Amino acid sequence: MSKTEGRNYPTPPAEPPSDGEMLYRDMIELSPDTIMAVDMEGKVILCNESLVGLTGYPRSEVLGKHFTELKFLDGTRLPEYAGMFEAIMKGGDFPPVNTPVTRRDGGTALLEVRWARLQVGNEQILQATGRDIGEHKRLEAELKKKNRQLDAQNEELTAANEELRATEEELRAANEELLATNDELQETQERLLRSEKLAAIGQLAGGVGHELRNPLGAIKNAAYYVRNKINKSELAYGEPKILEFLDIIDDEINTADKIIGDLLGFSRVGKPSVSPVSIDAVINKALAHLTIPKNIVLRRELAERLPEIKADIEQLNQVLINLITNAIQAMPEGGKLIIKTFVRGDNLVIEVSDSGGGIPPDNLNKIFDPLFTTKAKGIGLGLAVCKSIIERHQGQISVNSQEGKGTTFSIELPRGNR
Amino acid sequence: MTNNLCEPKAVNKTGKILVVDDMPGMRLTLVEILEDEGYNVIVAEDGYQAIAAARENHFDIIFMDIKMPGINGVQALREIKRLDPGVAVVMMTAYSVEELIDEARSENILDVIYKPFDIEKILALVKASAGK
Repeated sequence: MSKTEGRNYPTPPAEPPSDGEMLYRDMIELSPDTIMAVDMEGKVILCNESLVGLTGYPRSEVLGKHFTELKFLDGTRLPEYAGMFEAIMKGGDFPPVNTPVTRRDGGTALLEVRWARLQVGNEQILQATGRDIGEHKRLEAELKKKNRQLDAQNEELTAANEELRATEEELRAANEELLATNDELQETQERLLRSEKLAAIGQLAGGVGHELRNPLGAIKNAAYYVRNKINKSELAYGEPKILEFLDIIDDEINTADKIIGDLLGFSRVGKPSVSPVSIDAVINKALAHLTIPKNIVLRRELAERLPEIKADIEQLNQVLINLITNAIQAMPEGGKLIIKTFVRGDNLVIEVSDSGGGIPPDNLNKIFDPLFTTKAKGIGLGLAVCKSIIERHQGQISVNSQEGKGTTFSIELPRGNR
Repeated sequence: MTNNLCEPKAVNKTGKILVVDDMPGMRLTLVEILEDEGYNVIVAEDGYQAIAAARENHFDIIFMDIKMPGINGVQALREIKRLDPGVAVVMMTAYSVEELIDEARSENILDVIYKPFDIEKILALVKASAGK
């Protein structure tokens, strides 16, 4: 220590410094890094403005001090630095060392210090160049923080994305539901249009039908009177055709009345007036109304203990009469008429089957249309009435037919309609 | 009643019947048939005539159309029932005027028949009421 005591490097030159020296000094002074040089004994012989600026200690408190006396160095790490100094002096290499610095004002900084051994004349000096990495660390920490924030945002985004996907799924499902509802609505609308059309036809038909019943009644009475008179006269024997023609008049009156009945029945299909009804009772009532020809075998396959349903007995009766009448008419040469009941799911099913000629496929989808008929004496309202009535009972009527084998009409009525 | 091959069924019947209908065809045929059966038939073309007839006679049975111009059959029925509460009335209709038919049924009538009807049914009703 004594050897260099009082020496300040660079020693004020006896002669003005050379241009090279001036440049070196400037480079040292202007360097943004802190630069400090110690002699072989460890005394500071040089420091630049950056070091003064960073630590806040004037040169007077730095120059000439042994590096272990420097106030800005962490005292607890001095033995480590001393060891390092020794090692470097002996020619060892040292990697950059992170060196905490305490400023004069109490603030702290972190320098990454690189050591270099320089030969100046006969002497060796060590130069320590420090780079303030406090800012770097801060930026690194900030970056980490930002990264964490980004991670969190990413997680949020992922969650939002999941939610969006779920919402999309929901929307898709809702859309499908809407489409289905739309289909239903269209169907309902078509049914409404159909029933409106039916109602208009019904109103007209009803009006005409009623008006015709008065004259028809008078004709019937007149025919009765004439027949009575003929029966009591010789004409009954002399002119047998008269009685035959009176039969024709009677038959045709009955046919006309039946047509009017269909028309009125059609116009009268209103809201069912419901009460608990036994399906067996409806079938028996309908059968009591009809005469089954001798060449037709009737078979009843009625399920036992069928629950009663809420229905308009008169309307259901009309449906059964229409279907059974059709079945009978489909078998002029005779055959088998089967009336069957059973439960299918939530519905009660009534089937009326014949073993007649069947319905041509082309006609199958038209048979429930009003005014469609294949009968010479029909006006095509019977099945339209049936369909209208069954739909008003929230039920369904369908047909299954095979040409040459027969036809089955199937009515399904909800059991919930109790 | 000439040239009869067999005896008229009810030459001695004394029942008195009122037929009320605005339709000439229906009215005339029904009256002729009933008279032919030996009954005493009075005719009314509307509700007013019917009430007037009921005021002066007791009928064994009245056949009353429901839908007529002026007062309808049910209104005439009410008035006649007021005059002669026990009288048997059969309402006739070509229409399914449900409300009027329900109203008529609440007036203690004998029956409702729908046109065109079987004369046999009319004769059975007459026999039940007038032939007693």
